[in-house]
Amino acid sequence: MSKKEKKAKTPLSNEEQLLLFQQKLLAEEEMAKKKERLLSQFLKDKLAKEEHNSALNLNKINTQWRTVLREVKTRELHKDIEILSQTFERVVDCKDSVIKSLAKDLSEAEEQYTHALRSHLHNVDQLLALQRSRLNLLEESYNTELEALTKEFETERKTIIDQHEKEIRYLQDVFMAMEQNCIDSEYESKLEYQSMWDDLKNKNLEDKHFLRLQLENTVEDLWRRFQDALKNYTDATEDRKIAFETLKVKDEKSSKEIVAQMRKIQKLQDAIIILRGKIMIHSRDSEDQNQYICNDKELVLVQLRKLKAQRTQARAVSQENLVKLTLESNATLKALRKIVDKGEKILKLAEICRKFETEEEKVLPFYSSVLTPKEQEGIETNRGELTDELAKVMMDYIGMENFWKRYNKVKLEQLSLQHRRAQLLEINGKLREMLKQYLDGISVSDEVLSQLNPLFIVNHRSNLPQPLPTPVAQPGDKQHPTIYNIIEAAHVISHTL
Amino acid sequence: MQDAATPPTSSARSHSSVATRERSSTVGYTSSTIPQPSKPSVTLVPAKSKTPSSGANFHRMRRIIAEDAEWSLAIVPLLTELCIQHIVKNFQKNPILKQLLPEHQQKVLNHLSPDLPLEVTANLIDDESYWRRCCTQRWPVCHVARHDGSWKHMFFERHLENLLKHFIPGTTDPAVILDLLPLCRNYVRRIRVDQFLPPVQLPPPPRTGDQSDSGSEGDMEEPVMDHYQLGDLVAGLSHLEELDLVYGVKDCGMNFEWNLFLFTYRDCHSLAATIKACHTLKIFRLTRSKVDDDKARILIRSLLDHPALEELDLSHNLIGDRGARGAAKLLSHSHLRVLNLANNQVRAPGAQSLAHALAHNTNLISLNLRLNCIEDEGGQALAHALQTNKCLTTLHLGGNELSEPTATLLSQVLAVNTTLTSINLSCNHIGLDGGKQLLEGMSDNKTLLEFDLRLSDVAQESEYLIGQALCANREAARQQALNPSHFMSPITANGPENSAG
Repeated sequence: MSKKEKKAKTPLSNEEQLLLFQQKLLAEEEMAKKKERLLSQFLKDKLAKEEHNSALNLNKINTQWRTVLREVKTRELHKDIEILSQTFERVVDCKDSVIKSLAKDLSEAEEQYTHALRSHLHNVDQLLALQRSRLNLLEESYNTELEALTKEFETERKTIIDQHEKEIRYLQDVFMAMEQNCIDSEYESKLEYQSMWDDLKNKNLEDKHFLRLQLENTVEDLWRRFQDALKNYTDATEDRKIAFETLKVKDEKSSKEIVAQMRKIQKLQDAIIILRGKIMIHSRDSEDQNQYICNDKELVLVQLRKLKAQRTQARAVSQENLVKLTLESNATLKALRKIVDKGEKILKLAEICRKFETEEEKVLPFYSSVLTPKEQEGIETNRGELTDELAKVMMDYIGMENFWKRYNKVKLEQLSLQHRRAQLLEINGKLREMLKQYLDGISVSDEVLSQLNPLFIVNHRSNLPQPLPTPVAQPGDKQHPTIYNIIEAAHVISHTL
Repeated sequence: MQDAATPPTSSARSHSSVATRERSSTVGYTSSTIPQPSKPSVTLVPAKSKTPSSGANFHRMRRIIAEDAEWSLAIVPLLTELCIQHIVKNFQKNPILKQLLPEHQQKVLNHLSPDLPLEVTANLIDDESYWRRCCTQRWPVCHVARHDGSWKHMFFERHLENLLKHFIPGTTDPAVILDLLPLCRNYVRRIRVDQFLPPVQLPPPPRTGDQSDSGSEGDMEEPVMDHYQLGDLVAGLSHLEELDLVYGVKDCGMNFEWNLFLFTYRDCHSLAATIKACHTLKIFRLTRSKVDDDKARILIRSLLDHPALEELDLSHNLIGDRGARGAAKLLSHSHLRVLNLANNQVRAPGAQSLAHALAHNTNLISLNLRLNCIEDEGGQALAHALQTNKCLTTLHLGGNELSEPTATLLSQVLAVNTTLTSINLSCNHIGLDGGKQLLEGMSDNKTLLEFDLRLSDVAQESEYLIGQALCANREAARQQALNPSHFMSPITANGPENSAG
């Protein structure tokens, strides 16, 4: 292959030979590396296999060895088990004997217990019977004593009652006798008293007479003395009597004056009272009126405040409205100005466009409607269904129809021009390609070489890729056209492991 | 000198003492007639009487110095007294009692020695105070009520019991007991022996190796342990009414062996023959003697159709269901009034057989089945029987593992029964519901006076209400006892005043 390459290269330059040589060296190095790698891999694989085998063999040996050891071990264990079983049996026998002896002891103890229980119960029963008999005896003695006591009590009671009755009778007799005595003695004393009374009465009368006489005498004496004294006294007091009478007259006069003055005072007091009452009434009235006025004043104040508040509110509202109004008017002014500017721009643009208009357009700016008659009929029928607003809007834009006509026309022309441009570009491209091909066919360069070119044949070999016989892609066999290694797959596989 | 001293003390006594002296001299009592302590005479010369020696004053007039070491104020006893004393002293050889006057008899009896042999005194002396002295001298504790209140009976019965208790068969002569028979025959009404000694077992003689052991041992064991056979004794006692036996040994101390407490088959058979032969036996008790079913059946077989037996007590033995069946058979074939089978091993079948017999029985008044294990089946059977039984008054079923079903049936019985006066259901597992059932039954019952429900898990409330019902019943019974004419009217508790007024 290298010869062929060299043969083919003789017309080539030295640089290309060097390059080829370098490429060969590289390829050889790569091959060597590949071989080394293969070898190492192979060796590694072998090593692994060997290790695996050795492990297997080791395991086999272990199992064999273990069976041997097991046999020996089982024999030893058998012996141990026999010994242990014997000892266990001995221990079990010991325990059995212990249990039996304990059971015997238990039965013995139970018998003794029952024996003791029987005698104990017997004794307790005896004691209980004894106690009961004692209690019965005590109860009987108690009952007898109780009966004896009650009998005694009854007899005593009877005796006491009898005695009581006897004594009562006795007392009654005594009482009767005493009464009799009493009556007799009373009668006697009454008689005595009568006699005494008579005696005393006589005596008193006599004394009375005697005393009366005496008293009359004394009374006469006294009367005389008294008369004398009276006379003396009246003489002494005559003067005083006269003075007394004058003073008496004065006293009467002054008393009359006092009475008149008192009446005046009384009248004045009444008047004062009346006037005070009137003052009170008037004051009350004035107070009431003041009250009403104050209330009215307050109401009015409240009303005033409300109105003030309303006023301030209205002011604020109106201010706000004013502000809004100014702002909106500004905005509308701006918008209107913009529209005005826009319109001016449009007019300017129209002026500019007019320069570019064709003569046909200058002459016939407008064309009739583009629509078909059918469509026109359709519009007219639909007009009836339109709403008022839509009708209004449509009316507004009738003026724009001419504009839209012109615009559409221009648009259509633009589109057709674009289409045409595209077509022309296509044709241009195609022509370029053909030209290139032609030129390529004529000339030879690196680019041409690198590309697939069926016309380019060097040394009876073309650039086109040939179909490879092996499905396995060869590593390192990129697109080198010179060397082809056809290797059987089985061979490759057997050597890779 | 003595004669000279005494006459001056001229009192009737001295005269009589002289007289007695004379009399006594005629009888022949010269030696110790005048027991006079050494007390000088007071009436005679007091000054000189104190001088002991008489040889002090020879020159004075010979005074009478009364010093008699044996002078006493006690006079010579009456002849009767002396006679009585003599009789008392020689009573053993020459028992004179019936021929004396009553007051002399009394005196003789008061002075007789309690140690006199029984041959002399047994049939001669009937005075209770003499026998009382004998009893109190011999035994520290005497319950005369246990022996019908008669000291003579008590003495003979206890004497006999003592002999029986210490009789060792094989060693003691049986004639000792049988000789007593003619003396005590009329006075022994009951025998209560709570110890029977077994024969003494001497250690077996050393045997040679030629003898076969099994045969001779078989011969040795059985007959050795038989106790005293009562047949002859009981046959001789013509008035025996009660027999109370326990085959055991007391105070054995360190010599305790279980074979001291055997009740052998021979004992059993001889006892059966004995009680069959004794036609006056009313009460037979054989307790704490390990009597099992077979022995009980042997005994009961001999008691069937006994003419006089009224009370049978086989408590604290090992009687099971077969024995109870025997007892049930006995109920139907005798006049038995009291049956006591406490602390045995009677179970439900036994109780059922007893109940079957009880249903048709008209004699039995008291049945004691405590500390058996009759359980609910037995209890229910007994309750069924009580519905038809019309004479049982006392029933003791304590400690029988009874529970609620029995209580339910029993409450039904209580509602209809009018003869039961005392029921004891203590130490059963009656529980709260059973207690309520019993309370319901009690509300209809007017005759029950005692109802013991201790340790039966009955609610306190039920017990209290049952107690209230019982109090009412008791009050009614008391009223009935006081006023036999008022059978129906329930009088409230104003008894004492009514009866006294």
